[in-house]
Amino acid sequence: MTSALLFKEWKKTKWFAIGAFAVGLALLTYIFLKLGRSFRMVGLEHLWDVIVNRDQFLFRDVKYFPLATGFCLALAQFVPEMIQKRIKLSLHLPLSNRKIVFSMLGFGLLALLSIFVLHLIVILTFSVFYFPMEIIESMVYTLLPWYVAGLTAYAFTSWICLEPTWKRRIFNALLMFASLQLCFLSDFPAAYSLVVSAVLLIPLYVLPFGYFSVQRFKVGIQD
Amino acid sequence: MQQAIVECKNLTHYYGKRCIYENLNFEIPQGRILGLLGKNGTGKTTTINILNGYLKPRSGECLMFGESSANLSSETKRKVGLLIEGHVQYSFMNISEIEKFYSAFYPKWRKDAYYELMKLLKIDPKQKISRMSCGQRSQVALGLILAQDPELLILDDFSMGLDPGYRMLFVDYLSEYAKAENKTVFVTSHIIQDMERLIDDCLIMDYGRIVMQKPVTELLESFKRFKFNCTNPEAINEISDIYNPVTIKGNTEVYSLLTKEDLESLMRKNNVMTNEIQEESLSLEEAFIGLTGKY
Amino acid sequence: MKNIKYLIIVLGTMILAWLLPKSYHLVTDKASPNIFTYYSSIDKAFCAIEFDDVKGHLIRKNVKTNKEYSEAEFDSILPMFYSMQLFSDGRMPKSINGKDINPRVVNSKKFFFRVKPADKNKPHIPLYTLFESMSKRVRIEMPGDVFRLTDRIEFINPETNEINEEKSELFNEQFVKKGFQFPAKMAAGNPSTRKAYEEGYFIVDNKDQIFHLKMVNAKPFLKKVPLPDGVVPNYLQTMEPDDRSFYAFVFDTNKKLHIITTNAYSLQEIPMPEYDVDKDQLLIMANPLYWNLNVVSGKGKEVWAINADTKEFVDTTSIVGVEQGVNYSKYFLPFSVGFTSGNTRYIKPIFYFGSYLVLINNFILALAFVMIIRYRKQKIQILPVVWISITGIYGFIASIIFNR
Repeated sequence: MTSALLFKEWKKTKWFAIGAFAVGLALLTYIFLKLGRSFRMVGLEHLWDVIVNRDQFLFRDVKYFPLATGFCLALAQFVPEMIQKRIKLSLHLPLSNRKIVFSMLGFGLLALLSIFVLHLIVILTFSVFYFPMEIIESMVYTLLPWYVAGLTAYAFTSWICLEPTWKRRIFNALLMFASLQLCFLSDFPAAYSLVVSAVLLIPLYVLPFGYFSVQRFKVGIQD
Repeated sequence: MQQAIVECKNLTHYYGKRCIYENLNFEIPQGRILGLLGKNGTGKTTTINILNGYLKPRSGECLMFGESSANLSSETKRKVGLLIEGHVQYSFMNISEIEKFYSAFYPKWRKDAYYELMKLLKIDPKQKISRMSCGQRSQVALGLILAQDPELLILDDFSMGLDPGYRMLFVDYLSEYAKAENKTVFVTSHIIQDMERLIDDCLIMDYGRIVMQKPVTELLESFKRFKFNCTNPEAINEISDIYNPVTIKGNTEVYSLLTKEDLESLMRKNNVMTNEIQEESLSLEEAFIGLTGKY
Repeated sequence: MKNIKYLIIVLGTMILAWLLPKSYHLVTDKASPNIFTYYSSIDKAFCAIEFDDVKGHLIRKNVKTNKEYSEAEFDSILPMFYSMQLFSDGRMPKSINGKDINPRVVNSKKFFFRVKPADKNKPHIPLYTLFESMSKRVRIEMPGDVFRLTDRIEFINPETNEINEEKSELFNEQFVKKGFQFPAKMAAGNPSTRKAYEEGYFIVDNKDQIFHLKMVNAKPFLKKVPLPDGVVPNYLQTMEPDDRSFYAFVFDTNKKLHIITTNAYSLQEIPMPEYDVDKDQLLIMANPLYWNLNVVSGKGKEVWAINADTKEFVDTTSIVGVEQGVNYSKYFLPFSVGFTSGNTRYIKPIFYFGSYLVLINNFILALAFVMIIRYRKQKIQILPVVWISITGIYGFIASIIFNR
């Protein structure tokens, strides 16, 4: 039954997920081409120097990609549920509401995570060739909050979609904007290295919020 | 006595200050078809929402298979086939995908019943539901419910947006199925045509209240239209037990559950001057209009 | 279900505890003026340039006597600071305080050295560029490798991303021989080609010993710096002064400042105002006669002048930080959360707590919440009320919005 539920989620988000992955790859290709050019023009020694001593970050262009992906995936997944209150069909399926909602949210989170992990693997595979572990470690610390922002945006956006009233949606959106700021407080490389494990927990903290709004829907709260 | 499949006790609901109804009580015994009839906005969907646990009433409660509707178990949900308003389905799937999707949830799934109906539609199995006409979508939604083989069918305003042909097809298919399999059905509708052929009991709603709750045959036997000429129609408004009196150019029409004799004596008692009263039997649709008015 | 609601309220509270005080300070904060002060070798007193609110322009004056100077007068009162101007005008005295003054002397002894807390507290990638110290070229050139310090020293070639085993081994031998204890705690150097000369790195090992590492004719040079008893290095910064009198500044764990002199690596303490390298800013403006040590802290700015040769204390002055006006926020903002700070490049949560008086306000808000809930005809739950009593205005707003 759960696999059927996941099939439904996949049907809704398939093209978006594939598209997001493709856009991500295109973005990386662009970055790699740009980097390849600087390898030829200034050489790796200079590039290392700029990274280590001038605090430059090479993958700045991916900054908002995870955020946009997370936001759009939630829309792709939950707008069809909310149009014509289709969520009623989903909640009528012979499973507990909790299981239904968390399967849907879990699917989205996993789909997003797969896109992001593949994306990071490509970045890291490329980087291992040209950079030492110290630089890669710093890169990971710099990139992680941005990817976490993507997961957080997904959790918040699905909450906003599942919420039955517009007034509350606005408050939810405000909370989303403020909370997402937490992932973009600094552009300094590895600025999050002391708190990275706490940052990783943010999306997990926010994910259950959607179930709360489904409960609100269930008791019939509406504008 | 066997327990009713659906029981609603003292349901009261308001949207803000607007009263939908107070103390609504009804039950649907096994094998009966209940129609909840009312104009748009009288609370039909509200009742369906309460029944399925998508709305918490101000007070009172609904039971389905003896279980509180606010918290239905998976087992109970499996026994209920639900058609939501507008035949809404997962329109991003095509007819074979949606069949596969639902079959995973229902052990008694009857694939044949679904495809039998789909054959009539002459639709490519790869066509997305979102690209179908409203009538075709209604058949898909119906097919899915039939394949689910539920014990209770809840259909919210299935006639909405349907061409007469599809409406009749839907009614025929449904009533045949329900009678043959002894299913319990709860339908709501604001279009009364065809309902006569489907429902056993009716519950007629108007804004803020229930106006009638009776088996259809009983209603049609006792609820009549009376026509007469009247010189002082104002006096009629004083009389209770009369529904929606209308007088146009001295020709008066009233509806009532009273017999012709009782009505005549009531008229005399209230000094209403009439000529010979003509009694007319009604179709369900006419009775509905008689009860709720034309406006 | 209820638990999720509380999760939302807690998040909302935290976000408000971060953004509300931030917006309050955005509206009310005033800049504290950083007044320029410099010790005058002529007046033997601190002189300052400050903005006069009454007159509406900058005034230059002697801080002790309050005597005001014109711009041209001021140049000659602070000849060391305005040396370029005086040399070019031909107004520079031949000697001051019995010391010969010429451009060579001034240029070799004059420097600015600045340390901000964020220089120390920032994420950095532990890779270091070691230049050749005895380069035959005038310009310092990139060495073609960087080193890392793990349980040994390793040189890596950026073009191949591979370890240069031969060079690593050559250097590592010296580390072992000189008793260096890996892993290193920190390495201070100046990996820039835009400096006059290269003196490599000063590295603190795991036992708080300081070693001087440089590369001389492609060979390792490693010397242990003899530390006086009780000096435990906390933070190091190297410098290449033109007179080559010292190598580096050492901030020790007792909040004392030393320089590692070029005289057999002996340490010399630099007297200075109370200074915390994690919180305060230090600016040293040195000239052949005096060093001006400026410490800017939360309390304001404190300046010491010391003798450039003997490093003995000469004079001090201080500028108290401007009053921010009455900080009303402490009466209604029970606490605030911050994630960034001028003192660090790291993101980390910092909590600031207000006054106890705010508890009264919290109590009133909790009461107001109960009233509102009763007006809304909802059931009163104890948890939000307790939460508001603790978190005040933040919990109140979050509960009002999300408590349904």
